[in-house]
Amino acid sequence: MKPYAELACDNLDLIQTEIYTFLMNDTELLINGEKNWQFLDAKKLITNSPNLIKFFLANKLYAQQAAVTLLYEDLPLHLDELPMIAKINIPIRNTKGWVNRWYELSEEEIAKLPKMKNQFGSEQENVSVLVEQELKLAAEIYNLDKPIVFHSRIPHSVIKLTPDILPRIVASFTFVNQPTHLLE
Amino acid sequence: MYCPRLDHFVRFNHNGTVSRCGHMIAISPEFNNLEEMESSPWLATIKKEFANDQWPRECIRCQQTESENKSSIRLNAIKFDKLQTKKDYLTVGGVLDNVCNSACLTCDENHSTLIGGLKSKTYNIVDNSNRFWSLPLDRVVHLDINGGEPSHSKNYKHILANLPPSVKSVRLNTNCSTVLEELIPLTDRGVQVTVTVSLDGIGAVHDFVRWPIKWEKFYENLLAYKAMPVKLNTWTTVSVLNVDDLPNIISFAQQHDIDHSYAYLNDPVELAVENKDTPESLAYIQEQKRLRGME
Repeated sequence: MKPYAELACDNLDLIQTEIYTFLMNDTELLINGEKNWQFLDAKKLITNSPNLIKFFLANKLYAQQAAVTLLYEDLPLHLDELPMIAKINIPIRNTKGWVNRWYELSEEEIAKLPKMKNQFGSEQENVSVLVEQELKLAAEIYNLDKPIVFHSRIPHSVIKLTPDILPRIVASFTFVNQPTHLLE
Repeated sequence: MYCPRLDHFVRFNHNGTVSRCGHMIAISPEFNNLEEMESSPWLATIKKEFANDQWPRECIRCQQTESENKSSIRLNAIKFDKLQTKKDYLTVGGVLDNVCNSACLTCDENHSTLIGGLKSKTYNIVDNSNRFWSLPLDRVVHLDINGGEPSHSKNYKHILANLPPSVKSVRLNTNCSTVLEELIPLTDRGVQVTVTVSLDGIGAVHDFVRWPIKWEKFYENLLAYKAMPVKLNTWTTVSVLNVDDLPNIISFAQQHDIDHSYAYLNDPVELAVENKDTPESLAYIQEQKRLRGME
């Protein structure tokens, strides 16, 4: 499977506005200066975002969880939690001046990593023992400006380069039918 | 950590057994009666796990929604619990009978006598109403009616007409094929009534999923409920049959200023959205259409 694939989206500007408006009106995440991965009420977001649900349905995807990543600094190398392996990220605001990177690491090497408890209390592999510069780069995207489906079980990071405005806001979604076919 | 439902909820299953909480996953056991459940080692273990700040396996749905949305049935139950003055109060939910005038394509004979009648002349009629009347009624403060279809059931109408004075609130599901006039005397006497209308599609999609209930009648009755002194909300069970109509459903609810939420259907698995357009799903739908003479 590929680390990521871009998705065509005719109404990205409308979707970005819908999600940003939801963050401003229905959450206090931006007001409170929250950082990193934050879950959203997926049903409420879908209900308030007609263009978002149409985008998902056009791709035959049925949204399950929604979250937003709010970055002021680098998001170090990490793996997302199983059972999800394919997620969709949608750039919302201020993604210029950042780079997403994915690194090659076999399933066997991932299985050998030490385990740790993540912020939600679940056990997962601790990739902080790896040195990013020593890993082989599998793919990278500068200035994420399109929705992507990405392989969340490949070690990945988001690095701050020269952003004009903070925070970098990217929405993430999981689905009852994982979009792994889009990574083939 | 605790959950008030472990002390205060009783759910009737279609087979006449009782469970502690309808939101627990399927591994939670069923009991013959309330007393057997309340004295069970299983319940003691669950309570102990909560007391040790551990999530029981049965409660994974609340665990998930609390980590994702900071909301859950458990947190709602805690809010409800804080408003109760009776120490040993009970909330009662589940299936008291399965009498129903609809044969929704997602449903089965355990929850609809119309489907039972289509499948066999000797179909099962669930009647747990005697079990309701055998509860310690002075403890019951809330009734949650799932059906069958309450507006089509003599048992449910009898319960509503003779609701114990201790009951302060009622929530019920309806297919909106008729308006349950029996609710008016309840609201007159101060009982808080919530009506949850199943909104599984707009127009032709509704008529297909909720066969044989007609959209025009449904819409007329929905507006009648909106004019009544009840809290009205709508609910969509999202399946392969209506997932593409979800934007229209959401838009309809917003246009009419009616609360709406939804969940993906799990059972029957052939109609779960992840199986859309699979041969198994198409065959299942074909069989349901044949059963209802819709071809």
